[in-house]
Amino acid sequence: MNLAAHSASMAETIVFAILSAGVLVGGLLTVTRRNPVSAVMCLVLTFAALAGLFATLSAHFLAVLQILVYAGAVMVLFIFVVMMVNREESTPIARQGLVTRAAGVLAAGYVFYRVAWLVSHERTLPLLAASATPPVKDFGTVSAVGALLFADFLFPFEAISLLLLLAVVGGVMLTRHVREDHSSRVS
Amino acid sequence: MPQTTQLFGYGQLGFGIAAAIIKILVFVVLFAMGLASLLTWLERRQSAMMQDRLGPNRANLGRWRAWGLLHFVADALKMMFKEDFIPPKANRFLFTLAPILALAPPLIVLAIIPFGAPLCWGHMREAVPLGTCAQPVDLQIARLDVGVLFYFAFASLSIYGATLAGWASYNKWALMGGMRAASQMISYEVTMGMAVLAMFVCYGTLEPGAMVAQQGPAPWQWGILRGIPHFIAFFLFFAASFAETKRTPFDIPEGESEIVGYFVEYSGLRFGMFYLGEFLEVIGSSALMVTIFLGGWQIWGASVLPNWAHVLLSMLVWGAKVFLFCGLQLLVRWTLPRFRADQLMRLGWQRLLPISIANVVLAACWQMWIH
Repeated sequence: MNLAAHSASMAETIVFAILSAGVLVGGLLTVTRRNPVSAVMCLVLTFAALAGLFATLSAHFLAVLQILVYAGAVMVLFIFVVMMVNREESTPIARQGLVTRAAGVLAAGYVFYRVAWLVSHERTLPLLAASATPPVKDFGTVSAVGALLFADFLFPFEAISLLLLLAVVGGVMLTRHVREDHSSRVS
Repeated sequence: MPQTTQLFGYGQLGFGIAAAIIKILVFVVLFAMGLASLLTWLERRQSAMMQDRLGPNRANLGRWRAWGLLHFVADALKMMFKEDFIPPKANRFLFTLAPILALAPPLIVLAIIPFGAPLCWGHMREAVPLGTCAQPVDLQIARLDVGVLFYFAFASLSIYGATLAGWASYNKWALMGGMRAASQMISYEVTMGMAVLAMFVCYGTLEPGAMVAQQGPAPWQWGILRGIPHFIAFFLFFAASFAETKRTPFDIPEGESEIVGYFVEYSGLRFGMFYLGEFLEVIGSSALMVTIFLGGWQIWGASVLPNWAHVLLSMLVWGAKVFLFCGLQLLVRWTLPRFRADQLMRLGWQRLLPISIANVVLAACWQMWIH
């Protein structure tokens, strides 16, 4: 291995360590913060670091969409709602009974068990072994993702967009109803 | 020594890193930060001229006064030495984080802007026609396939700066400013994306460098004059990006005469970061508009000159276009009065958004007629 390739692989390892630390620390802080706005900002950190991990896997389009949609749009709406509700920091959002805690620990333990099993059997799984080969040249580019969405997976793509449209129209209908009531009461 | 050439020769990792650092120093630190601090003075001077006042004209170095140009240095010094006050009931962590989130995204988005003709490594003293160089160095910090989407992704993060500042200050006026900022910036982001979608259809790429390469030096070769939908797209984009910078007539998050805005509790250098961030957003949106719609760095007939002169002239042309655009934004800011909140929402969702969606369809039809 020559010097340039060696330093490139080392840089990759360092970047991976920083980004995965960001994902883990951000996730941990999200569930431990008492202040909801701080928790949301820690989730933003997780999403940003996750986008960085996507970028190192040469999925640039996915990385940018992760930031654009989740960190930039969805989480801003979260902040907006938290600010509107404006809960006191002392009142916790989650219920704190013994049963709830036990269920939470059990669910987290089950997820951890499944992921750990997946990682430890990584070499033997045919699907993951196949994906370990280096990606094709235009993997993750905008045109490659676009071709997948509009040619190979057109039906699910359009079905999801129809579903989202229904959700939007439903949301508008719900709020409109309330507003008409309000205006008729005022006048 | 062979190791050094291996690491720092053209196309190697060390060369890429060194080139990126030089580009960041020249473009972001020297040009963008310099122009942003200059604009802080220019805005006050220009508003004074428009309102028949003198404006800041006193800062000087002995006898060298230059119309008070040094006021931006004096302002920066003043901000640095002012008391850094954090309200006792404010959330310290978020209060500190907010100005960073307001300043960092406008700096990051500059990475995709091409600011000059590609430099031809090893042939800088010869005339090199565009596109024939064997070892080009793009004058663009990051040439990304996702291009303009990168700009939108990081520009959308600057909402957090205003919103968190409003929430963390523990002040009702600041909170109102923060809420207004969040709703306004989310609304106009959609129009901004839709407007530029029409240009993606036209260019067939998202990469700003490739967009500039498809345009020409003369105005009729620019993106804005490709057709009717592209002409409309420019104005939609201009209006939406103006709303994103939160400047008058879209300054209800700040609303100087009513709520002072999301940064009402900030002082000293932390306020300075919001202030500088606003001007960096002006520069960033101007640079993107020049790149997509106004031909970027393209300059007529300069490729017969030696490569270094061509690069220098193209950077000057690009810089002049961006500077003029910034000046136009300052002019608009001191000409129009502020929108009301409901007018702003109506303009965004009921006027600009339907027009921009229709414009995308029109652009697609236009593209099909041509080919």
